[in-house]
Amino acid sequence: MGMREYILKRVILIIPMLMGISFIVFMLMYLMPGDAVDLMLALQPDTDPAYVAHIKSIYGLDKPWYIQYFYWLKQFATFNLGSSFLSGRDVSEEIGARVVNTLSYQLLAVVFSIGVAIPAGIVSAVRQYSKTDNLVMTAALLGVSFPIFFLGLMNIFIFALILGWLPSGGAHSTVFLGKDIPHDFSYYFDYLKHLALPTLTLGLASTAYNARLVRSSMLNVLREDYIMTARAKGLKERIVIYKHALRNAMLPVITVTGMQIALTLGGAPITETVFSWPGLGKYFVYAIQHRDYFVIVGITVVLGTLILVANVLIDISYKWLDPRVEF
Amino acid sequence: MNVKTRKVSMVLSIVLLTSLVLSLFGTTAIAQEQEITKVPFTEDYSKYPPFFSITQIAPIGNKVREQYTQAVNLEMPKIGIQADFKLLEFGDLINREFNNYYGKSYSEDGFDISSFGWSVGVDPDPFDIFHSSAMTPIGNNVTFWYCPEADEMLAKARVEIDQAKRKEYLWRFQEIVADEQPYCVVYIPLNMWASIDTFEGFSGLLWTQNYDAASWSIPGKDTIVYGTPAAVEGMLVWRWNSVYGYYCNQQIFQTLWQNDDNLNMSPLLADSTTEGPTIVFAPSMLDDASIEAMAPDVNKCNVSSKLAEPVVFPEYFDIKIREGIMFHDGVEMTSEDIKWSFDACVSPDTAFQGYGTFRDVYGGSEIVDKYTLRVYVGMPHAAWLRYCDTNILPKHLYGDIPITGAEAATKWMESDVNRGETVIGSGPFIFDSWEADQYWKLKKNPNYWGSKYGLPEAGCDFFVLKLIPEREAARVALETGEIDMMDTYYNLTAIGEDLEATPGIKLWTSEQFGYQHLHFNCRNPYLANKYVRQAISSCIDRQGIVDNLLGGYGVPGRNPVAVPSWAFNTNIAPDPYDLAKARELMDTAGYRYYIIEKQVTVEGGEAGAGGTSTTTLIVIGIVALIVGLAIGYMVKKKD
Repeated sequence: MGMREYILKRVILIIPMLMGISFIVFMLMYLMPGDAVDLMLALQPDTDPAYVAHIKSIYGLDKPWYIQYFYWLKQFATFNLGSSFLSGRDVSEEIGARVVNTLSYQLLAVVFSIGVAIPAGIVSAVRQYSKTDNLVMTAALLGVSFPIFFLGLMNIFIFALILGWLPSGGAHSTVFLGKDIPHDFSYYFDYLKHLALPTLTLGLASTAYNARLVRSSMLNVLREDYIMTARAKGLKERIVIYKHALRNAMLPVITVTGMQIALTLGGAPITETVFSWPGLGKYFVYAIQHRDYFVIVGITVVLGTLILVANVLIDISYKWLDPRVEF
Repeated sequence: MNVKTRKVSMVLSIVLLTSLVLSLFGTTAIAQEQEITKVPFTEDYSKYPPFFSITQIAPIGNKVREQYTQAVNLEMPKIGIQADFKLLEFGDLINREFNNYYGKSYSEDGFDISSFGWSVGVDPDPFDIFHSSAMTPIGNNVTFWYCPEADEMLAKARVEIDQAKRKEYLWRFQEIVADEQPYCVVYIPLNMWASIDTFEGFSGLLWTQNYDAASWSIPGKDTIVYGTPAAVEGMLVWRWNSVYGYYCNQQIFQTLWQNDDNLNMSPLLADSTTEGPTIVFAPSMLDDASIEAMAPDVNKCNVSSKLAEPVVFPEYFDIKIREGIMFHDGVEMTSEDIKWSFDACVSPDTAFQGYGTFRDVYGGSEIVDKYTLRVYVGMPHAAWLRYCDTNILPKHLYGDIPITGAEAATKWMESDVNRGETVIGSGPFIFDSWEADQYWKLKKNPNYWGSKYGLPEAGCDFFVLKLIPEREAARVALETGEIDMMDTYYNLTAIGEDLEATPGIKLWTSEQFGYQHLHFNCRNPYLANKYVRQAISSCIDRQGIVDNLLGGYGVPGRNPVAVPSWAFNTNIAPDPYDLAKARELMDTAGYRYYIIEKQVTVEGGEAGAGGTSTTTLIVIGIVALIVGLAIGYMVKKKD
């Protein structure tokens, strides 16, 4: 199968997979106790059951879950994700307002992670058991040991409170909040400043893991016969390392990075809560807590799509890294 | 053997047998008279099998509440109760308690004991939480507690206009609750806020009572940034999903009345009221038939109010609003705006929540003139004017949005006002902008109508509500100047001492209108016994909780009425932490371990005497046997 056919097949497969995901999520949601109306009205006085039933009927919550799923599916077929029960706005609008924020720090964190982990892992592998190797691996061990929550708070204390270099949270400083604020360079620079700490925190956590992975992968590759052959041919060590060893060592790293995208998106609520970051992760948890069904399914579908697309891209990158790979 | 010898031998044998029989009989008789004395076992019961097991639940979120519930959980085995502890997601807890029909226990998807917190008002009406006709799912009586006298006090207090009499009823009600303990109030934390030390004009009261951002200012700063831990969704004041949405909207959309500094009602939009003629109202509380119709399962409990009585109350009130109240778009507010707002708010089709009591007390209205609205009484209530109130929106802007019909709820949710595109009120602040999960920004109303009536204008040019979910992150933001005030819902009492010691930070405290409590499912077979509930209350170290978990920023609780309220019964003291008393109460309830001591007694004599007489009889029997055998032998030998 050629690359083009393979990509087409993977893209087409995304649709039934999303339907499957949405079906499972919908079913699971209705296993949760209570719905949005129950939560909204429970603590109010005089909750006449007839009134509660009336409100539920307004939002269609009185119907069985599979009927509600069917209605949702009909809407979804026209790219309509429905409306948020809590805010009344379209789910796509709600997600659109947050997805860029989430992707921005997630992608930057991946770039940061790979950018730091690859050189660190290579140096560690090439100078195995040296002081540099010990230092890098100790730092990596610390990095994988700290939970994101703790690492985030530590970064806030160090960079915001003690050093005062970066803001502690949010997406903008107060002076840039408001409808009449021009979106000029200073506005976006302020956004980047706020982006720094979530990126650094998430990036550090995955850097630690990736550096260890690059090191071990490189060590395996460096022991291969073809590396010895390359050296025997008199190639420069730099060419042996970067051209022959690294390319092959990157295959497991790419695989793990693909899985990490799913993991870091799943961990987004923690990062976004610590840094008051207006992203999808925090909103997802809020929607679950308030049983905002359409938002829950909508975010699941969007995140599912992102992860599936990321996996397709990773599969393509295999072919680029190792032309022997056949689909 | 001669005849004489035979006779002697026979007599001796009879004596012998009689002695043996007597000794055996005597021993049996004494054994039946043994007394078993039960000496109370006063030590810790936790080493022994429990009398029964229950499950305590608490919602995730409030760390202090989670900790104290666990502390109580560790104490209960000491009085013989095995208690499991479950931290539940809020939705699960709500479902178990507020959708609980006829008192299901935890194992049946209901609950046994729950840790929770209520916030009650200045002018308390505990009817909905304690009255038997308000059992869930109709009202909030989640405990299924039924006490006819308490029902009577609540029903009377609800409609009594004379505050002295009302206080009498509510004080008696509190005494009953203190004895019966369907609720076991544990502690009342202080409200605590932290601000930069130049913050001025803060009254320190909880938002629901008297938050007035217009009075706040910071010299040298034109913007006040207020940090909050929860998000705001939507701009619709009648429908709010977080306290902050409601709070922020309060600065834009005003009500007829507000609280003054002493928490008394004072006019805001309203100018004056005139009572209409009195009429007789049918009983306002639900009777058996109504409950049966609304929630048939609840009535299976066979508890409902039998105390419903007709009430004499004004038929209507004429409410006159102030002249010259201007909306932000320059249009004057009239009685039409009030009527339309009231009707929209109570319409079931608009699906606005939080107005249960308003819906009950509001019986419709008609316009008298441009500034006067006649509001009919739907249900008599002692605090009718306070409860018959809501935020007023301009009809000329939003009047096209339907308030009845199947599409009303959706239309309101999709409306410009909810989306933050056209947000027009009459308050001292004008809506500027918002971004979901980030901030709300209000700006000063330069043409505020209230100035001519002595109401405060906004003390800052901009007021920003900024979302920072994590407490430690918010604290850093306060210390670095990114925010000016941290809200009370960050549970600052836990770090109060630390904050006090931080330079540049000022703490604000006030008594709280809410309380943290355990409440019991009174339909649980064990917890139905009030002595068990009292025993549990006595094994709570309230002072320890306040000292160790709240850092001293709170008071031990006992009363389900707010401490600052005029209705708070000051005569009731919190239960002291007393495990011996708790075990005595368990004893009274029928649950106690004993050390059993056996005492052997003879009727009319001491235990020792009884023992001696048995031995004597046995000895006499044996001696008689030996003598009889000896005489028989000697006689036989002589023959």
